Amino acid sequence: MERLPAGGDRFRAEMISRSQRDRILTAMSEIVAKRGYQGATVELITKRAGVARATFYENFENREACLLGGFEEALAEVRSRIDAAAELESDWPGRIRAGLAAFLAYVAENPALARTCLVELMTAGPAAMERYEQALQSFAPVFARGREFTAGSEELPETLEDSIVGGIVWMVHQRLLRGEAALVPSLLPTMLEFGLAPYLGEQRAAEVAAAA
Amino acid sequence: MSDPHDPDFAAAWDRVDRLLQERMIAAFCGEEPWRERMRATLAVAFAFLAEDPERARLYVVDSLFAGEPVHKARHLAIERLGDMIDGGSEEAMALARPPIVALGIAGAIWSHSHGLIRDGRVAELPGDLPQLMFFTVLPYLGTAAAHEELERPFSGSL
Repeated sequence: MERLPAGGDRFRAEMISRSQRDRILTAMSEIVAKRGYQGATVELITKRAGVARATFYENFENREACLLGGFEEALAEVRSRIDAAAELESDWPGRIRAGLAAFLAYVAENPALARTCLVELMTAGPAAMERYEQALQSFAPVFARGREFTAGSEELPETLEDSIVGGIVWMVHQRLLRGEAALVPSLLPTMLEFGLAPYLGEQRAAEVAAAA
Repeated sequence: MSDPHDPDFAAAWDRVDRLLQERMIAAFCGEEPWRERMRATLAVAFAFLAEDPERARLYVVDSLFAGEPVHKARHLAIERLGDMIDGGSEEAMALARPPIVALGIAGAIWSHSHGLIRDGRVAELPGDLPQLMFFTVLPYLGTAAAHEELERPFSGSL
C-alpha cells in the first residue's frame, strides 16, 4: 500500500472526519425525508450513519445545525450546477432554461435531499425558515435581469421575481410531497412559460418553452 | 406568539381556517367572471389576515412548526386556493394551464403573506393585492390583463 504523504496521520484523520460528516448528512436527509424533521432524532441519524453519538456532536452543535449544514452543501452544489449550465448559453432566456433544467435534474437525482431542503427544512424552526427564504430570494436577481428586455419594465410589480421563484419552488414542492421527484424535470416547459412570460410576453415565452 | 406544540394549537388553527375559508368561498362563488371573483377572494383573505395580526401569525407562521396534522391541513388550505386559481384555466381556454401552475401561484401568494406576517408587516398585505393579482392573472389571461390589475383603483378594501 502506498505510504501516506508527510503529515499523513492528520490527512487520514481529516478524511475520516469528512467521511463521517458526509455519512451523517446523508443519513439526516434520508431520515428527514421519510419521517419529517420532528421525527428525525439524533439517535436515528447516528444509527443510520453508523457513527457514535459523540461523533455527531463533534460535527454539529445540534440537529438543526446538521439540517442547515446539509442545506448549505446542497445549495452550494445546485448553485454551482446552475451557473455551469447557464454560462454555456449566450442569451438570457437560454440561461434561464439551462439553469432551471440543471436545478430540476438535481432534484430528480437527489429526491431525499431535495425533500429535506424544499419541504421539511421550513418546518424546523424560525432560523431554518429564514435561511430557506434568503436562499430563495438569492435567485430573484437571475429573473430580474429579464427586465432589461421588457418594454415598460418599470411597470412590473416589485414583488414579481420573488413570486416567480416562490412559484417555481412550490411546483417542485408539490411533486416532492407526492413522491414524484422523477417527474420534476418534465416541469421545465411549464416553468419556463411561467417565469418568462412577464418579461418576454406569452408568445416568445411559449417558443422558448417549446424548444426546451 | 402561540405555541405550535400546545395540544390545543390544532383546534385553534382549525377555527381560524374555517372562518377564513367561509369568507373566501363566499367571495369566490358568484356569477361574475373568474378574474373578478379571484380578486374578491384574495381581497377578503388579505383583509382577514390583516385585521388580527396574532391570528394571522398563528395561521400562517406558527403552523409551520406544529405537527403533521396541522401541516396537512395547512397544505389543504393552499390547495384550495390553488383550485380557485385553476378556475382561470376554464375561463381562458386559449391559455389553459396545467393545475400545477395554479398551485405554484397559490404557494407563492402564501409565501409572500408569510414573509409579511412574520416581519410584523401584515397591515401591508391588502395593499399588495394588485401586484399579486398581476401574478395570478398573467398565466391565464395574458400580460395585458395582468397590467390592468396594476392600474385598477385600489382602496385597500373591497
